[in-house]
Amino acid sequence: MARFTALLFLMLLSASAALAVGDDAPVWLRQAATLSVPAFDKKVASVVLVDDSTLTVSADGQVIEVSTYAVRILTREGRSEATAAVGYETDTGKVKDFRAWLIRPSGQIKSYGKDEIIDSADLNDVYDESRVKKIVATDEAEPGAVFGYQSTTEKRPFFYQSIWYFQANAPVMSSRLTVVLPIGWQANSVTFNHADVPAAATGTTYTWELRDLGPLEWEPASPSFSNLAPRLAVKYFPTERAKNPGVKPFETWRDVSVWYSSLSDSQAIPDERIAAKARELTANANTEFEKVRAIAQYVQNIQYISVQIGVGRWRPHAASEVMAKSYGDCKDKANLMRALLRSLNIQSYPVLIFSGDSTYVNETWVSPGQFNHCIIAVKVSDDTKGPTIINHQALGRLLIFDATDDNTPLGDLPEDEQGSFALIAAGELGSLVRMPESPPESNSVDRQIEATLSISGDLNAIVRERATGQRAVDYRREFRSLSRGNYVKRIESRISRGATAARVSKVEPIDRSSEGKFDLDLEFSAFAYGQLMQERLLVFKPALLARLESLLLTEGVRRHPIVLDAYVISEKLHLKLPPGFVVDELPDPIKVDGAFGSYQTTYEVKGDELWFTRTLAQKSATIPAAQYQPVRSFFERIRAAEQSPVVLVKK
Amino acid sequence: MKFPRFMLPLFLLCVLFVFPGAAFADEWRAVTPADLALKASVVEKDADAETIFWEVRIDDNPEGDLIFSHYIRIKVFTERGRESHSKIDIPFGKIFNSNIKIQNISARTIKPDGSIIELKRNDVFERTLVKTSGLKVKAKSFAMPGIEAGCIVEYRWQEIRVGQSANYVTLDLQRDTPVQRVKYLIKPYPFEGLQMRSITFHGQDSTFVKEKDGFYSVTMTNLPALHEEPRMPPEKQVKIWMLIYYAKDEKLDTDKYWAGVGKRFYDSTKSLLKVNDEVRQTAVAAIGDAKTDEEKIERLFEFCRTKIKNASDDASGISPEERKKLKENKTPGDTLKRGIGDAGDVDLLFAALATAAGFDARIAMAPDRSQLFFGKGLANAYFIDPSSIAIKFGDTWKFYNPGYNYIPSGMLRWQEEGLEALITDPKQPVWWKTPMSGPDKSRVKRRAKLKLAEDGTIEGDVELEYTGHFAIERKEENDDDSTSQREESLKDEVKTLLSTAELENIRIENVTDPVKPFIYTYHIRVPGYAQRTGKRLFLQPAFFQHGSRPLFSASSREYPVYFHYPWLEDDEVTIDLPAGFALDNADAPVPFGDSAVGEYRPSIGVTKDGRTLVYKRNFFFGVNGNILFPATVYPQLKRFFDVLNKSDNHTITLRQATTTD
Repeated sequence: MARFTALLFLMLLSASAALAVGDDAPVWLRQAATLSVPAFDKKVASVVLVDDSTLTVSADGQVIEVSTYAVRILTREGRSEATAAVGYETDTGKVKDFRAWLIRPSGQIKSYGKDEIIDSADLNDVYDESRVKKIVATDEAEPGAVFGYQSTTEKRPFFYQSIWYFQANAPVMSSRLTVVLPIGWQANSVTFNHADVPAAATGTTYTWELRDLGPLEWEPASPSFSNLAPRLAVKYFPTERAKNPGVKPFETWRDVSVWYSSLSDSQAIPDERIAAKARELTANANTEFEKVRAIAQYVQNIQYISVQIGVGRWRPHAASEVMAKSYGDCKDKANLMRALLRSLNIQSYPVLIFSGDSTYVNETWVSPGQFNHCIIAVKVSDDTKGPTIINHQALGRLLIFDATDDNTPLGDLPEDEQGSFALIAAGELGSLVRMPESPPESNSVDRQIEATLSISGDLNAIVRERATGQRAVDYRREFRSLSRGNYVKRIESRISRGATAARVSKVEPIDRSSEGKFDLDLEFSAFAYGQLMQERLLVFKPALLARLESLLLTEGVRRHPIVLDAYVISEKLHLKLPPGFVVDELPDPIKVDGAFGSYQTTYEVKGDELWFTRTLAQKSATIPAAQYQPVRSFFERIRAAEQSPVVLVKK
Repeated sequence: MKFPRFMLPLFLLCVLFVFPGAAFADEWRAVTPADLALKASVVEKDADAETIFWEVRIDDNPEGDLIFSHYIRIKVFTERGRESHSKIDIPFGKIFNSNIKIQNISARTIKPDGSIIELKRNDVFERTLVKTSGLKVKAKSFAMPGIEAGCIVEYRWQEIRVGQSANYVTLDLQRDTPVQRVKYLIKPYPFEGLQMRSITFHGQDSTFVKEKDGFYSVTMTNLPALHEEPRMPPEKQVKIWMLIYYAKDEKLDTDKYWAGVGKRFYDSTKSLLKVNDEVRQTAVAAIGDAKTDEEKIERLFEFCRTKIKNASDDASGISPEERKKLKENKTPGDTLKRGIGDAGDVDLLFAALATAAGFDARIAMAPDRSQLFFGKGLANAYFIDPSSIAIKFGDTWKFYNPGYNYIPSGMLRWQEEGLEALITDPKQPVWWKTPMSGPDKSRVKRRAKLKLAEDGTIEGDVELEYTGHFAIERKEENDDDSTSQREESLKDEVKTLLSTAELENIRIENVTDPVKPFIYTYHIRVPGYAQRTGKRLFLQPAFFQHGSRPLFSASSREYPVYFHYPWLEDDEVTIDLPAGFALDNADAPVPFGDSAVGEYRPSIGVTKDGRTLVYKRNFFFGVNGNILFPATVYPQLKRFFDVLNKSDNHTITLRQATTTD
């Protein structure tokens, strides 16, 4: 450790010395600028030469992080990478030093300091301690230039844990995290999205490093970036001998549960106002489920507002305060719901989860840092049934619910949370569990169309769409987010995609939220929908609405897995044929089955009607890139089928 | 050519700080039972919330500060209304050399039952949004307590614009919710000899009424919310707003006013057009053997384009840092000597060279129709800027803008076309209409030579050539990108219409050339382009429109439809048909439109051997400057573009010749 500290000291000294002479870059950056890089594809806009961070933990738990970063700009698009950013929390940390340099292809150097720093807040919250300092050199950077920065931050974190992304999208020559610990501390790590990266340890200094990482290119229907880029999670803590009572190592998920329960349970105590509100809300509820649903609907309708101050980032505001103000963030909502339920003698627990990616949380790394969202688990009796109930070994039957997503009712769970690991915070009894997953048929759209086609090809159609589960959530979200006028325009636009010049005469949405359903009834007409040829043939596409027109998976090769959601879309069309015309040619019906789903079309002439059906059943799956071609072909066949026309001929 | 306008920073501030606002009072006003009982908007059906009143008291006080006292009351009807009015951010701080302070914030929520929840002082958070050298934007932020559908929210605060005046302050009269009543009260600065004046745009008559304590008020009622629609005129052209300024207390003769503006501007810019010996010699050399006046001007235009480095041009290769270090050119002689200047310098040099060559060359001042449609009847120089150089040919003025690199000689930016421009003069400035370029000036010429396979795959070579405003837009979009990025952008664009398209051998020409057309050439392969059934192939001959959607889908329209400029599309597609297939009852889409506005002229034929389909499409729109259409003709306009889309989707059926059924 002494050797490393000396090295660090020399590094800082060299940086300071370099700065003292004006526009000169520090030694580490000048050295990085001389690195030769391999030839990349012409689309690669930049290459990271050095990405290095050293965290030095003092015996009293303070952490000093020194970061150095250098990137070579390869193309004009790469100029946007000439940006330095350092995040900090105003209450627990500060940026002690932050400088950047640009080494132009000519060798000329420009330095950036205090005058160029932009310090900004998150504009979305009412208040948040999190801020970011930036230096932006995108205007000056040109292809061939090397941009680098160095920052020193000081912080006293809530948890002694760090996440290190070895790369973003650009290729990386060298990425390294070093943790320098006091005597008596130790560190361990978990590697994500890469073979285990072991630490090189010298005393209490640990270093993890990866070199020569290729670019990470975006592809449609990919896993999220956090599930593609090599990532390291590091935990550091005092050993038993030198235990620091202020540092929680979180050895088991139960530790996290105990910690979070200690923060939140005291905030969920109902007062008389809360109890009265609970009684009022459930006055007409006859069953346990109805009671919980009444409370859930009330909490869902409370405005989402986030005020993040100090430990408030983790601890919810008191339930009484949230109810009085009628606003709060996810943990405030879950907490208020707990208090309301508690006043009815219904037990419940906060559930920590990651919102946005159901595969993000990894059970092998015990840390509250894996979560960004809070939902609730309600203890229910055997009388209450539903797809979002899990059986917890210690806590029994738990109904899982997200009080923040006001489009997903009780009995369902947002798609990006289904199947995810989540922590049920129930003190000593809490644990990490997998969230329930609904089958494809629970997330369905059933479309029934009665239509007529005139001899000139004019179309009249009556459409009934019935959506359930997360597909109903899609319909509901759209309906609720738009005014009536804009909603009608949206529907008109959607219909026009399939039927140009459609005149929509009826748009009747019925939001059956408490049942998890959404109905949409439509009526429209479209002149010359069918194309009349030489007054003899009449050609039209029987997939009137939501035809698959364009494909996402079109590239010849695939690098990343393909992520598919679970749902079923079925459609039945009864189309009355124009008098004097008979079917001359129908597309061939198809039936495609894959491990990830199935698709089927049928055509049948019944008297003067054409009956057409199509059904797509897709399973939730992450398909390896090696199996890309069958997936691509699956959707290509669907597109071809939905573009295929029917040919009528005049008798 | 853009010269700084003295009021610009103030103007920007007004734009930045038009937040939900309105008049300060120490007391909350009584809430009426009618307001509490209100279930739906009075002004606009289906609104999610409605502003019951919105009052702003503006004190242009002699101490030197401009003080705004805002008071606003909003009724929330729906969950969407609750969502959008739940959080309030009031920005302030040091911005663009100005300093704005906020004080006396108070807010409350009135529940449907009349109960009131006051905002607590410690629930107002002050935060620094952005801080950097010379700029500190802060905000006071708060959440409305207890907000729910059915309640009323109201808040008030004072905003102090330190050291500023109400001269050329813009006042918004519409909001994102409908407004039952908006009232501005203004106490003007007691300028000697100057009076406060106002202009109202697109709204009711706005006569100011004298109030107590030196204030004057203007009130408007029942104002609908401002909405967005595709291809609508600029916001300032459709919304209701007001401009406040100070001017002499006299009856204004419009002609005299503009004559004065034109003369004063001429006098103040005379030195910028100064001709010295070097300019004179350069003009002679540049003109060379040109004979006609037009040729001479073309040579001077070309000289300014090619011999002077334009520092305003993205493709000039000048870094922002180098740009900052450039010395100011005080005369055309300086620009000539240094060989570099910004867009304004290039224009002024062009004018000086033309003057040296014996032409009458002037700075022309014009409005910008991307901001507002201005007419000279509105006597206020606030709306016009120096925009181009006018050269006199006989009795006619022609306009040039060599400082904007991608504009061909004889054209202007679309923002300045078809407008009245003021030609400055020491004696008699005149208004002269700038030309509106016809459809043929902004043309896209598309050619494809393709081959269709039996399985529906189409493959071949494509060339697209853009001129005029089309070319300018393409050049602006591409000139700052690498070659690789330009290719990626093209691929993405093609794939939005033909998702299965594979592009090879891409060439992109004349991206930074000021004059030549912008050109794409590439080889394309599109699997599944035509649909195959048992015995037929269904083929859309309009290859370049495949996958396109109708321009308008909404059945109703609130605002006029506005196209920026007229244009022309000229397509020719040849498709070699697969062996064994022949046309089956093929016909062509029908031409429509007229030469007064726009016309679609298609043709489909086959070569003599029957093996190649030849499709031609000619479409132009905006003839005679017809680019603005009132909402009342929207149904006809929609129908026009619907028919165009249907015609473009016209399908040809090919039948396998060997099939006997």
